[in-house]
Amino acid sequence: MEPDKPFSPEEDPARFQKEGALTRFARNQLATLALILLAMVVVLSLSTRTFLTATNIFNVLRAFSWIAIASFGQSIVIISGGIDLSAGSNMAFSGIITAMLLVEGVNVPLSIGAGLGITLLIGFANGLMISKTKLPPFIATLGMMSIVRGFCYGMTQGWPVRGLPRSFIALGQTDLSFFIWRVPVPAIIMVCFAVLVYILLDKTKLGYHTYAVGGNEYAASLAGIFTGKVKNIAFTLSGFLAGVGGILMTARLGVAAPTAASGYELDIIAAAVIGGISLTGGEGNVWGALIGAAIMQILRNALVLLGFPAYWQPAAIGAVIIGAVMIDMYRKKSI
Amino acid sequence: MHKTLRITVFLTAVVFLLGVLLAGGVFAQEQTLTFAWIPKALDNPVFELGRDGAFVKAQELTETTDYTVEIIYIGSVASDAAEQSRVVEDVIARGVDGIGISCNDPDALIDVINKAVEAGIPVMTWDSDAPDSERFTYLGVSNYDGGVAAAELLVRFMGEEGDVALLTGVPGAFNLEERIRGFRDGVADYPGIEIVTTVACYDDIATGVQVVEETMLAYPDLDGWFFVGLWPLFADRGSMPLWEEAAASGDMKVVAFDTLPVQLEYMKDGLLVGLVGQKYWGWGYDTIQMLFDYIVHDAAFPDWTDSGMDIVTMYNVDAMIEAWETSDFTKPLPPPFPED
Amino acid sequence: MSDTTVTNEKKEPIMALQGVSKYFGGVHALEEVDFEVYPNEIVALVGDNGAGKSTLIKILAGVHQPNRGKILFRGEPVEIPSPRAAQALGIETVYQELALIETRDVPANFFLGREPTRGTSGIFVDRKKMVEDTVRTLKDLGIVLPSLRTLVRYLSGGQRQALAIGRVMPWGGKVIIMDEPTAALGVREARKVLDLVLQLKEKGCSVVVISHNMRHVFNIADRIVVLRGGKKAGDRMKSETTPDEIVKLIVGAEML
Repeated sequence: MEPDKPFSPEEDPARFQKEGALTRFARNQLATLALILLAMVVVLSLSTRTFLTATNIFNVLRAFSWIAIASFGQSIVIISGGIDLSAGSNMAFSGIITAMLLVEGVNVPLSIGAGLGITLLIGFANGLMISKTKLPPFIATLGMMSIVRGFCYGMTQGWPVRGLPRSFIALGQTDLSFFIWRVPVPAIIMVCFAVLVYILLDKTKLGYHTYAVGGNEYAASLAGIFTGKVKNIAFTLSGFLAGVGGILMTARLGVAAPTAASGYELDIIAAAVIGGISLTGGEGNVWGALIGAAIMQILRNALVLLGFPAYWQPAAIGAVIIGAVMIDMYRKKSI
Repeated sequence: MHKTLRITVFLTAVVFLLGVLLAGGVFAQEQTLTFAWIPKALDNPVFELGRDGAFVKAQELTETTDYTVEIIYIGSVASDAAEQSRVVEDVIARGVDGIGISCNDPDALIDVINKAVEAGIPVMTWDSDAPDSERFTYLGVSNYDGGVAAAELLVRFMGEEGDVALLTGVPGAFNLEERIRGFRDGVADYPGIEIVTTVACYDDIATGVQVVEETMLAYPDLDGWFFVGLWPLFADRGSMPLWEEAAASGDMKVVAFDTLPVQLEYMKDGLLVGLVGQKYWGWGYDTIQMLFDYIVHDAAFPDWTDSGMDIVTMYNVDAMIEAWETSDFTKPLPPPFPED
Repeated sequence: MSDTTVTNEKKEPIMALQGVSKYFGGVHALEEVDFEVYPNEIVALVGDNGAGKSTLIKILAGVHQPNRGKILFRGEPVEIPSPRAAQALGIETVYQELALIETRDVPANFFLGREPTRGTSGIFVDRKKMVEDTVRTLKDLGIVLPSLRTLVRYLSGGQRQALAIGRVMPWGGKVIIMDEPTAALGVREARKVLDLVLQLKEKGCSVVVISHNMRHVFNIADRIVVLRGGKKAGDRMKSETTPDEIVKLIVGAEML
C-alpha cells in the first residue's frame, strides 16, 4: 500500500486546468467543420465564376434552409438518443395541410398554424409511442413515416395542391434587405430557429436533460430525470420543426406535392451526422447541424456549377458524407 | 372473462371479413367483366387521368353492351417493380378477366405477367412495356420517337445552333433515358447545337427548381432547354426567376415532355414553346376497349399498338386546354404547325 | 440472530429497513431483512454475488420499492417511490455503474438532474454557479481533474469515481450509499476513494458501502453487515470481528 498522503491540486499542477490552444481547437468540432466548409467555398470560388455571386449564395441559402430547420429538430432527437425517420413525410404533410386550407380560403396565419399544429401532434404521437410503449424510435418513426406519407397521397389523391395566395408564397420567395444584400426570408427564419434551438439545448435545464438522456439514459433516470418526458418533448419539437421546414418549402415552390420531400429524412439525418451529432446520442450541437446542411447543399450546388455528370452525383455525395464523419471520428480518437 | 370476450370479438371480426370477401366474390359473377388497371405508381397524377379514361370507357361499355364492365384501379404507392409484382399476384389470386399494366421494369414483371396468362387472364401493357412477356399487345408511344419529336420542336423554335441543357428525373429510368437518346439523335444532325449539361432532379420538385436555377447561373447564355419531365413546372411562378426571365425574353426556348394543365399555362404565357405528350387519357380509355375486344370479340392486335403523341404548340394549345377543362380527350388535336 | 445491533442501542438509527422483502418474478432477492444505518458511521455491506446487496441499496435509493416491510427514516415510516424522493430525504447514491454521462463535461455531471437555474423561471441553467460550486467542492475534497470542460469520456476510472462521489457532497445528504466504489480501480486510485469515504464521515454523513474487498472493508467500516441468499447472515462491529469470520459468514460455512 502507498503511504497515506492527501492529494490536492498542487500534487500534479500540470494536469489542472491546462490545455494547449491546439488541443482545444482540435477538440472543437465546429472549428473542424467550419474549416471543411471554408475549404469548399474557397475551392469553388476559385474554380467557378458563378459560385461567389450573391444570387447563387442566396439561392443555396434558400434551398437548404428547410433541410436545416428540419435537421435542427432531428438534432434534438438524435442528441436525446433517438432518430426521427418521419421528418420528410412531416415536411410534405405540413405543406399539404396548409396549402389545402389556403385553397379553401382560410387565412394565412390560421393555415400555417394548422399545418404546424398537425406535425407537432405527429411528433408528440411519435414521442408517446417511444416513451410509453417503448417502441424503438427507428420502428415507431418508420411506421409514422409511412402513415403520414399515406395521408399525403390520400388527402390529395396524388395531385399537387396549387394556386396558393401570393401573401403565403411571399414567405418563401421574398428577400429582405440587409445593408447591400437581399437575404431570403427562409434563411432568416432558419437563423432564428438555430439560435432558439441553441438556447434550448445549451442554456436550459431541458437541454441539459436532453444530452443526459441521450448520453446515458439509465444514469439520467437514476439522477431523477424524467426520461420519457424528455424524449416526448424532443420528438414533438422534431415534428414541429419539420413542419416549419415543409411550410417554407411549400411557400418557396408555391405548390404542395404529396411526393415532396420524399427521402429528405436521410438528407436531414446526414446533415446532423456530418455536423458531428453522434447517432449514439448525447453529443453535438445545432451549429454542427447547420454547417452539415450547408456542406450538403454547397456540394450539390458545386456539382451542378462544375457540370459534374448527373449520373455520378450520388456517388460524390455519399463519399462526402462518409469522409466528413470519418474526419470527425479521427479527430475524436486522436485527442 | 376478458379472454372469452376478446376471442369472441376476434372471431366475429374474422367471420365478418370472410363474409365480405365471399359476398364480393358472389356479386362479381355473371355477365360482369372485371379488368385490373395497374399504373406504375399511385403517386403520379398523370395516371389518374388514365384511370378516369378507364372508368369512362367502362361506363360506356356497360351502357352499350350486354356486359357490366368493372375496373379495379390498384398499384404500388411509389414506383417499385417488386411491389408491383406483388400487386399483380394479388390480382391473379383475386381472379379478374383481364389486366392492363404499365410496367415499372421491362424484365422484372415478365414472370408475373406470364403467370397471369397461364391462369387464363389476358394481359396487355400500356405506357411502359415488358416486351419479352406473354402480353398480347403493348399500347404506347416510343419514348425514343418522343425525344426525336422534342428535338425537332426545339430546332424549329431555336434555330439550328445554340447551347442546350437537359433536365431529367432519376438517372437510369428507362423511359427517360429513351427520350434523352431520341433527343440526342434528333439534334445530332445540327453540329451547331451543343448539349452543355444534363442535370437530374430525382423526381423532386424542389430539387428540380434548384438545379434549373443553378444551371442558369452556370450557363447564363443558354439558348434552349429540354425538360424530359415536367417536375420544376409544378412549382409556382417566381420559383425560378432566372429561368423565367430568360424564357420570357424569348432568347431561350424551352420544350418539355408531358402536356399537363400547369405546362399549358406556362405555354400560354410564352415560357414554353413546345410540348410532347403521351395520351394519358387513352392509357385507360383505349386499354379497356382493347381488353374488351380481345376477350369478347377475339380481336387480334399487333405486337405494338401506337397510341400516338400529342404535339402542343401555341397554335393548338387552346384545344388542349379545352380538352382538360371538359375532361374530353376524344376529339383529335389541331396540327401544331398550321402552315405545314 | 442474537448478534444484531450489538452496541448502538443508545442511538436512534437515522434510517432502517424492517422485515423488508423484495421479489423479482419468482426470485426472492431479499427476504425479511432488517437493516439499520446509524448517524455518522460507515456500514459495509458484504456478501456473495446475488446475495441481495444491490437490491437492498436500490430500495434505500428509491429505485426499487419493497414488496413487504417498512422503511423508517429518522424514526418515521416513509415511502421512497423514486430516486428524486430519496434525494429529497437526504439519501444520496453513488452507483456501481457510476451513473455518469460520458458525453458531458464535469459540471454537467456534477449537477446531473439538479441543475441550478437562474432567477425564478426554473428554465435557464445557471452555468456560472455550476462551475463555481463544482470547483469549490472538488477543491474541498482535494479531487484533481483536468479542465472542467473535459468530457467524462476522457477521465480515468479514479477521476470518474471521485467525481461521482464528489457530486453528492453539496446536497447536504445525511446518508450516502456507495455501490462498489473501489471496483476496477488501481491501488493508488482506490486509496484516494477510500480517503474520500472517510472524509464524508468526518463531515457528519453516514455511509453505506458495498465492497468485495475485505481489506478496504476493514480499513474504513465501523460496522459490517453480511447478506447471504437474500437474508441477513450477520451484523458485526468491526472491532469485534475478523476478516476470517466475515468470509465464513459470506460463504455460509460453520456459523458461529
